[in-house]
Amino acid sequence: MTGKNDEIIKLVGGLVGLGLLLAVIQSCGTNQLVSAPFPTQPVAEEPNTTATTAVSESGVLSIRANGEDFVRTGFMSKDGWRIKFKHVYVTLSEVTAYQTDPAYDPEKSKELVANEKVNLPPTPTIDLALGDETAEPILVAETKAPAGQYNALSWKVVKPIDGPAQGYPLVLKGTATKDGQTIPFTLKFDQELAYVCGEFVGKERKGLLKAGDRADLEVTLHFDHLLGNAESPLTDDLNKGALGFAPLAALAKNGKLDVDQAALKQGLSAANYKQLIGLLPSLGHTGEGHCREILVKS
Amino acid sequence: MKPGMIVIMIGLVLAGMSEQAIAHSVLLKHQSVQALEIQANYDSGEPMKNAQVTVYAPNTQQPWLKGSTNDRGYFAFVPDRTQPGTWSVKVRSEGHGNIINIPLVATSTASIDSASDKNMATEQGTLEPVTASSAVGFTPLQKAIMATAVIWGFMGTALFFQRRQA
Repeated sequence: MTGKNDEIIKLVGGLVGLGLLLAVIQSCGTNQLVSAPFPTQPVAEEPNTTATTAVSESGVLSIRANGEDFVRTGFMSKDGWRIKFKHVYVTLSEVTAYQTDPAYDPEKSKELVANEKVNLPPTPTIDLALGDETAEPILVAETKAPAGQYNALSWKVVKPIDGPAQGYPLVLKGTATKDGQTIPFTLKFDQELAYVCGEFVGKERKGLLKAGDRADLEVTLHFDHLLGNAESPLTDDLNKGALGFAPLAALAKNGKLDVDQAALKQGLSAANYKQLIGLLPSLGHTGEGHCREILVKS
Repeated sequence: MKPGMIVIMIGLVLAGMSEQAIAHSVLLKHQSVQALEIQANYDSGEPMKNAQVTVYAPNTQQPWLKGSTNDRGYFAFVPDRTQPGTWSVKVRSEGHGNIINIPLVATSTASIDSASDKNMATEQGTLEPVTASSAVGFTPLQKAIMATAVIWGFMGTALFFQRRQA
């Protein structure tokens, strides 16, 4: 009888020990950092909209586009060319603002599910190079919208059917100068792009629209990604990924560079052309906030 | 590393002050509170050192708190327990930035039995990340007892099977 009791005691002891072992493992886990929860969201073909929002619960939502000082005042490319832009034509389409909860994270979620969705009216081609360093970002569109926190934004860059950049979603015009040589350039890209972004990340917080008030969101394009930035070390990832201007300068004829995407494909090495086109999706941001980027197939 | 891409991780920690007594009738008290700890890295794994941190309370546009990460990219703060909802923490450095949203909900006082200051918890409620594990600390003594129990348990199990075979 005593032996049987001993067996029971030992068996119970073993089970208790294993239980405590699990408890210790769990307690160790709680002392570690855990990643923030952003589960993949299911596909939402048509996010919910609030069609019956009362006027008193609405405000005005504006969308602005910003090429930053890189296009307004110029910059030095990673290979020492002083770049000044005269015009940076961009044609945006299907600009849409969203209220998402949980917040959409383009680096973790492929699909965006919105509680509220606001489509902005169509807009003509805009010139991001307008104004100086004190200029406000270009007003793209504005519309009445239900109050709330707009923490996601999507848009496309498309071929305009008319205007100064007819047929080209993105046109860069300006001058590049190095060692006393100045090359006027016109780069015309026919690659269409699409972006789905999370919340604006910048000096201020944007997108909180209160009833009867105004709020804005920003389409931000980082042109230093194409040519690099001499103010950053060459070892910086931005510069390591950027093409620089030298390969483009080599295509100049009679001191000028005026090329479309087909001419770039023909003139650049295969590696440089692939690099340049591969950089186009990385232009789109909302402030410093990243986007899910899509190269639209023609 | 992709330009501008950063990785922010969040942890839940318990922060507190130890009780001390110093001269000139200075009285010090301590309490344990739940803090949120942010870890900001570039996606290369490099910490965002001394990055600018801005904390926003739920549904607000004005910063609730400003600060900066330490040399290892860490920043910790104690959210206002009276403001449940989604807290946002923005981290920026040299043109790179990201924002993390942390849902906090009010919970019953029963869930914080381990807190040393139950009165405060009862008055103010408590907040905890919805999906983060609750952080309950163990003292070294508790851990030693648990480790001993585990070892004893293994030995008991081994002896049990050994005896049956005999």
